[in-house]
Amino acid sequence: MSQEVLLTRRAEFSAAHFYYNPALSAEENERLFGKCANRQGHGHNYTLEVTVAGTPDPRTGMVVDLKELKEILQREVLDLFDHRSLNHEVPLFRDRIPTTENIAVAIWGLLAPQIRKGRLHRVRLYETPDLFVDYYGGGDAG
Amino acid sequence: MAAAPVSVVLPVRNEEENIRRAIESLAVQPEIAEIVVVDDHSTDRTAEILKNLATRIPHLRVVRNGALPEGSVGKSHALATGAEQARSAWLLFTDADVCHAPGGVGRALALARQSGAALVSFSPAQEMASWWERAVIPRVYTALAQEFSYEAVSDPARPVAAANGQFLLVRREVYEATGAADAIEREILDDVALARRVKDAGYCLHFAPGEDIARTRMYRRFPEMWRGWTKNLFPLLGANWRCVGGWLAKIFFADLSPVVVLLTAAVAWGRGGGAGWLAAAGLAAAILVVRHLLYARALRANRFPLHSIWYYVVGSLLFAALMVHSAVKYTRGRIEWKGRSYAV
Repeated sequence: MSQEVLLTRRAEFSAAHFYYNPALSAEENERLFGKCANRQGHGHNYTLEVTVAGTPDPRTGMVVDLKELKEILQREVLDLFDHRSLNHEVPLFRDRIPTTENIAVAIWGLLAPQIRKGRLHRVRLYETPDLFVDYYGGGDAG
Repeated sequence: MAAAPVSVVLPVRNEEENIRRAIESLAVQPEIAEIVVVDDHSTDRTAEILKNLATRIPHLRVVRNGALPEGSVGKSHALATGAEQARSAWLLFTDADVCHAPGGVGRALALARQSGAALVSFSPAQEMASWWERAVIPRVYTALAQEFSYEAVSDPARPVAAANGQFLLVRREVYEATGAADAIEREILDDVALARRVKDAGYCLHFAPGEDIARTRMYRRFPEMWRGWTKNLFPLLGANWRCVGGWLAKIFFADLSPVVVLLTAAVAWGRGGGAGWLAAAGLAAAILVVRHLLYARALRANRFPLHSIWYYVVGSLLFAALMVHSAVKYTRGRIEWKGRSYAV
């Protein structure tokens, strides 16, 4: 039986967002989201942990090329989200509320096609040190 | 009125250098409901880049340009294909070498509503890095502005019509009602053909400089610029040798000859020639000064940087050469465009 190992890389980014559903009234938005419904936005320092699963390559001992993983994270996620106003500047959130849950799912969608060595196992996104979301790809992961 | 009333139609063929910037600048504009990119059989990394962009831009759609019907022009066919797919009240035709300013589409829509125009078009600010871009692009554009002035095109009482396909916003119902797709299908100058069809049908145009709307880097290499203006100049200048002859005569007598006379006369006078040589040099210099002042005024009116004035004479020389080359190509009956050959 091959030994599957999980490798995690951490990255940080800062971004602003607000929670607002245009299909609901202003009162309803305020009731559901409280202070987060303020459309001037507020910011977070997010921490992202990306976990890749695989069997270490017998030649290198590595599940995935770490330099390549770092470049993928930078290019596909950080360049898009870091120091951005998510609602205004990131097209993925034009019609989706940028909650931690939705951001994690979006990040999975951006990363999964790029990870060719190994398999994307989990995206964990901390909105604050006390609040984080795990996404395992929606059930099609092993 | 819909919050996002615009569908972008963006034809691309081998645009791996430019396409990312163009699409990302469109993707953040809230007035745009969808970006329909028509890939005209690209053989470089364009398709791969589009696939990657589609993962991060949910309202981006990529469509393949079908097989080209006999007599059709690739880009024009791609525009028509994209327009067929578009759903919004307004169509924004644009090119891969254009970077749209934040809020640009919003400003264009506001102008369209204010002016009542059915077709709004802007000439983007030009990004020019090399000497030959600085020499040729302002020289050509200021000359074209005499043929197709912004005021005349925007005036419903005057028949002249033009538009810049790098930013052309038109009501979809007008595009359809005027049969614009047929008007452009076989045309090399799709933007001018579209503007003519719309104005002839009685609708208003608004044509203006657009440095706050978008910017463009049209040509990165000299051969690209040479081919691009060869394709466009002859039809733009009237599509006949009489018009071209008029332009060549003006450049020869007003721009180039005075330089030769000035140099010859100055040398001759310097070698002890009579006052006649000095007078000739003085006259030639005066003509050149006047021409430069007129060019400075045209540069300002067309929002080009004033330092382009240093390239006036070499720009005129290249403009003349391009005009002749374009006229010869059209007279011979064949034009090359991105790897295809068209009978003209």
